[in-house]
Amino acid sequence: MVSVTVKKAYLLGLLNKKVRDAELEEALFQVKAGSDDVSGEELSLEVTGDRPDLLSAEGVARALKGYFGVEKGIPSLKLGRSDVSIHVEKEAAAIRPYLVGAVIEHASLSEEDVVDLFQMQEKLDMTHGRKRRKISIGLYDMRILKPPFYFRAFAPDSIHFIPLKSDRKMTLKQILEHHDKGKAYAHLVNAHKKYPCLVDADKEVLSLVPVINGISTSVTAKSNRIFIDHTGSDLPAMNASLNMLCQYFADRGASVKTVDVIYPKHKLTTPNPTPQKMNASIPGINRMLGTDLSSKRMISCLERQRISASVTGTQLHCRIPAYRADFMHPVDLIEEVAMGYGYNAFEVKRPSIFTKGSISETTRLTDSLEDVMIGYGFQQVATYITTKSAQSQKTHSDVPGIRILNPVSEEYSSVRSRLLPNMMDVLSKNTHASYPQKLFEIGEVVVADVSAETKTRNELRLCAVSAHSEAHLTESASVLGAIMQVLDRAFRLERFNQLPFLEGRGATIVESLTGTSRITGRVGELHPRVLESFHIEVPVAVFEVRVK
Amino acid sequence: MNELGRSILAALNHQDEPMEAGSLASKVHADPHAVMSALESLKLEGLVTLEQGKERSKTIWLNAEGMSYYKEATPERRLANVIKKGGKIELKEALDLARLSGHEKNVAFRWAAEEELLKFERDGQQTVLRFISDKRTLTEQALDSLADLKVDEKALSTDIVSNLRKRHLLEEKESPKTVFVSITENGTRLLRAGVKKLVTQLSPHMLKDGSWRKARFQDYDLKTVVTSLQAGKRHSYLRFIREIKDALISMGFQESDGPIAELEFWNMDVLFMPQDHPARDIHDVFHLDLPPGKVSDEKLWARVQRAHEKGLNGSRGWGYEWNQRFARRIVLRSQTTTVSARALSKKMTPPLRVFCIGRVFRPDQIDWKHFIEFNQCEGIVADENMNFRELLGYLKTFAVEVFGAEAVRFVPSYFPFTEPSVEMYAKVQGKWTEVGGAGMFRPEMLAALQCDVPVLAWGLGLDRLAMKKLGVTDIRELFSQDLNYLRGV
Repeated sequence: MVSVTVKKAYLLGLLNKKVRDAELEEALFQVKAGSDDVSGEELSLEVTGDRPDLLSAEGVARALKGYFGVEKGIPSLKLGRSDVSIHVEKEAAAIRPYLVGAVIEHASLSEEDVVDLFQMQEKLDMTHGRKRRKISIGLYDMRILKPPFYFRAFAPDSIHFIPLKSDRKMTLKQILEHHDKGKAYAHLVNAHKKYPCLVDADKEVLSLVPVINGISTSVTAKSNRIFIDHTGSDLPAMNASLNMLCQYFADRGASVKTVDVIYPKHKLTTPNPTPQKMNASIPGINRMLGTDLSSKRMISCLERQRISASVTGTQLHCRIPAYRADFMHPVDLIEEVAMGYGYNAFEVKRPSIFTKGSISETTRLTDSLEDVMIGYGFQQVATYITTKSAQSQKTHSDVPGIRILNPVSEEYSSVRSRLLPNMMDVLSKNTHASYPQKLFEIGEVVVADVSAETKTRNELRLCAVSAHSEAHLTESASVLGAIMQVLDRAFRLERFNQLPFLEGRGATIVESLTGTSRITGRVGELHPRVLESFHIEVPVAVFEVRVK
Repeated sequence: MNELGRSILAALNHQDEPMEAGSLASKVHADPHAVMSALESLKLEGLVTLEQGKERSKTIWLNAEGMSYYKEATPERRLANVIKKGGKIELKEALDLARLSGHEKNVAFRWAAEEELLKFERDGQQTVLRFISDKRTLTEQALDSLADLKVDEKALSTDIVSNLRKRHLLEEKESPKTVFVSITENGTRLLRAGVKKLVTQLSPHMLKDGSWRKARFQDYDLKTVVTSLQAGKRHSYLRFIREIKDALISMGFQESDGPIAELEFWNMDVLFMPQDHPARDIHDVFHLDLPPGKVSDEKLWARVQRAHEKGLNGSRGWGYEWNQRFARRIVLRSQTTTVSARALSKKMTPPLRVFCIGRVFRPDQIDWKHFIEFNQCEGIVADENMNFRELLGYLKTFAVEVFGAEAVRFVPSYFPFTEPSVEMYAKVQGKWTEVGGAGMFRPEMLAALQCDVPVLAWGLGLDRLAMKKLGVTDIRELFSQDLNYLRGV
């Protein structure tokens, strides 16, 4: 989801239709730009990730017009020709292979429009443009610019200009090192010897691509003629994005003009407004939706979605606006039909097939062990799988937790491989509660396993702790005995004279599995040093054992 | 009850005041010890009440050291004895004459001056002992008065007792408290009825020999406060999850599970999520410090690569160069859809209905509404005739029958691996809540998994619903570690 803010009065003005709040709320959700609250003057919309074309009030209004039947089918986009051309030079293309652009005339933007336009540009860069890696968008006031433009690579120290949000000339190198935007996007260019820039015929720098524009060409409410460029690696996605911006201006009554992009060996005229063509089978759509819609009905559903369609035989021929970037397979048209039909208009179908339900082995084991533990008066606890790595050292775990490379806090910086550390944490947080405290957790942990596809395996473990003035090994071992009986597993205890246990009062749980002895857990009385480190002032006897 | 017990009850009957145990013993002509033990058992039977006297005292007598001082002389006296009356003597010589042991020497030095027998003086380089008096010291008087007796400490003056106590010459023992006895209603009733005994506990023996027929059972005192035991309880959130599992199983779903630490391949690539998708960003998934994993099914690996790069099954694909290294990285699973994908890869014969409830992990800021670890409920239905209407039917059934929703509403949504995609809102307790997302798996994903029937899939977040159901206002309370809270819930 991408958040975008639009003014309600402005949106409704574009829609040119009286709409009650409740209707508007439902409509916004149904066109994939939902808002939890439409009562205020500003609407905070959550646009789904597949619809960057809805990142402006104009875009949302375009979709709502279809929804309310104010307009239908493909919106019109009239293109004129400008005399602007851009020369893409080889060295620049080696860094960012494609460039597309357009010229807007009679832009007539208010101060507020400029804010909205920059919001749209920023959101497109971030989402559809994948933080400018895939697409980077530039907007320039053409007043002082002299075409043709050149997309050219420059050595880092060879050229300078005043970037936005600065008051002095900086070289490309200085921008990358000192300017906020420069630092944020340096990684996209600084692997290269030269950096790509867009310059005009007088070597006026429009921008260091894809980092920052020059201040002298920044778009304001006074800008009448605007040049838009997109640079990047994914030409179809760039063309769709350029069309989103051009359609935005066209919807506002500005005139949109093409530019010629001249590559060393060929020439492109952009934007390319040609609708995308896609066919879909009518029976296929009905089968997938569980409906029996006529071709006529399907066409009207699609037109409500601003898609034009015709039919021959059982095939729908669809023409999808060039500003849509989310059509990869005919199945994508099916969702458009469903949206046009209305998700809440479908008669839901009761589950029609029968299969036999069953619980997993993990749940079955958990169920039976829970019964035993609760029968013995143990309170069940549930702890997080992500945990503090220090806990595992404090309890002298035989296996350390797996480190998270990008934790959000030290508190949750590793993946548990044993349950005892978390249980001790629970005990130490409850020293004010009445004793005896008998707790257990049955839960999954992750342990390293080089032979596994994921280098790890889940293990289901049971840990029980008894904290009270007379807690001792025998108590824990007898509960363990009951557990192993339920699991139908033979085991023996072998002396384990190491921390975390008190000497002579700890043991490993050893089981014979297919002839070899395996340690599957531990039982014992915790060493006072361990108790001290958790600020616990009563004896604690514990056991932890692998269940599965 | 034996004869003694009966005489005791008889002696107590019609007494207005509680009777002291000693006088009771003389009244029934029995040994005080025997009376005490009889009283204890009468008390257990609820026939008498015993009340402790308030005063408490100690019996004292001389210990071995005290006794030897009493029989012979104190070390300080033995030291003083070597000085002539009114005279003085050099210390070393005095010690030679007195023949004191090491301990005795210490005792003599400590007490001789204090008991005013002699005093220590400097005379040039020497220490000399000078005579003061030969009258009986306080200690000697104390030893004499106690002699070989065991007496109540109150029989002696406090000076004497504290002197001996200070000098560690005493053995002491708490004297038993005086006990006052009264007969209870049960007791008088028993006397009146002439019945032998009130039974406190029915025994197997009584059942065997039939003696229960003649027995009278003692009343319980229902006013006595009983401390309740601490019961073990199931964790409230886990119980909530277990109930959902039951509901799904009753609807015919089979439970499955999968790795918590998962290959990006299964967590994302198989789900047709492009490698530059924002949800794959380092800010949206936890990476683990593990060597790269390896997918065992090489053909699947190749199909997934093709689905991303060029498309499969009539799709254009994402059109980028798929990075194998990314797919091998190991992350904490960010959705349980990965479990569904693994289930589908096993190529079971449809119809197939599988679900999984498991923890998933996503970096987020931690507050009352958000946590980095939560439970997701994921399920799929794979069959020839599955369609979108039936998907909506499943969602509605879950909302109404599993979560007790009053109404549902569907909203178009977007997930990289489903098309069409839908988000469900449910009205629970009068408020609309986002319950989860669903859709039909995309053809690219199904083709890579070689699944040739449509598959419905849904993933519901359980935490928000659980908060509603359990009346919890902070998401972290679902995993509360507060024992009082857990015991109370």
